Amino acid sequence: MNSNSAKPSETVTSNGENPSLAVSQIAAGEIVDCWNKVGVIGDGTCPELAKFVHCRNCPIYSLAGVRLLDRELPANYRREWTEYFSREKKQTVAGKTSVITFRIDTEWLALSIAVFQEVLEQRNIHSLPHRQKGIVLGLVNVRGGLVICVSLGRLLGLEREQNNEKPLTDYNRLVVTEWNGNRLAFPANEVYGIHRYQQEELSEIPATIARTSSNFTKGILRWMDRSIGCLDEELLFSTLNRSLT
Amino acid sequence: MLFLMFQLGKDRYVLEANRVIEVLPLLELKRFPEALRGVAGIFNYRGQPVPAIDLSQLTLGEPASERLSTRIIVIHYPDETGKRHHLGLIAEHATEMIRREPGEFIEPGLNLGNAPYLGPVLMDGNGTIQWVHEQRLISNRVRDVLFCETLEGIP
Repeated sequence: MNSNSAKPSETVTSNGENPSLAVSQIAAGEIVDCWNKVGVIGDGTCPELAKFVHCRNCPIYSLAGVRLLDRELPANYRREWTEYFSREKKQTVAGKTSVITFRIDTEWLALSIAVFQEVLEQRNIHSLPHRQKGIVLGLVNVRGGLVICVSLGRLLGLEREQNNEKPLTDYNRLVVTEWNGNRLAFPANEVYGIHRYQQEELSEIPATIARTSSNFTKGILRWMDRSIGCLDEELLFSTLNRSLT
Repeated sequence: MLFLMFQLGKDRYVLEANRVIEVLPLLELKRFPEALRGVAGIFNYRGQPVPAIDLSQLTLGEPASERLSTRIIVIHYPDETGKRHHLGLIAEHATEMIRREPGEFIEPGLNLGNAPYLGPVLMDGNGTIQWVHEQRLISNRVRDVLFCETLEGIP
């Protein structure tokens, strides 16, 4: 099974007279590690390198990879696979809805991916005169264009709690969104990423919270051992756009 | 067209890849004493008993070697009434796929009547590859034994 057991004709080839081998010259079950001798890991003298550039493109290298599968079965191999294939195949249903999860102060929120344009590093917000108190923070420069920057935290009433025991590390980002042709940006303390869920995973909001006026969530999602609010983009953006006028 | 390659002894054969449902590793088989030649046993395929044919045993008389590269190819096989069943084919060196045009295969020019599953051949630099018609692999008698619904159905 090792290269020493090569037939005499192949010993000649591996002596270096003609370093390139053909797949048909390799005996069954044999692994010729020519890449270590004349290939990219060796001295690089193999003439086939001009054609294949790297040994991994060479059929001899692929053959050696396939030959590794000719090993005996490890102990318990059949037992384990038999158990695996005796179970029902899990049908993975593609998630219907995708949201991006982000954090404002201590609150994790989810918002439909459709409204996201980009997530950028936090940058300077140019404040507007006479608009200091409301939800508008100012204007930001996004790729040379001016975008109104709002505070979702203020709109949702998520002011930073002072008695926060373990402050979370902030990875401040500027989220740029677009809804019905209007671009808006808002700062987030952290943007985690995309989460996919099925419609039935979205659970109802407790009735006591649902009645409050500042509620913009359409449901609660389970995410990373947390319950997070999934924001209703329609309600959220129509309120935001109204408050700009 | 994509083909799944395997070996019987030292020779290479191919199956049409779109006939293959799944390629499984070698699983534990419930063997049948006094079974017909080539019938390796049944295995549990996602909760269903599926018969397995050992291609090496069937064609060469020697059971397939127990290696990582020996695999169970699950295909559909119709019974007498045309109802499709799962069938496992145990094949050695079922590790490669090749892409070839059907026209590249040529008739070998000899017909050994007792192996109706052998199809046209293709010659490349490393030897000859033969196309296997998986729907003709087992004789009708073996098929009726494998896929009978009731005990009385055994001929």
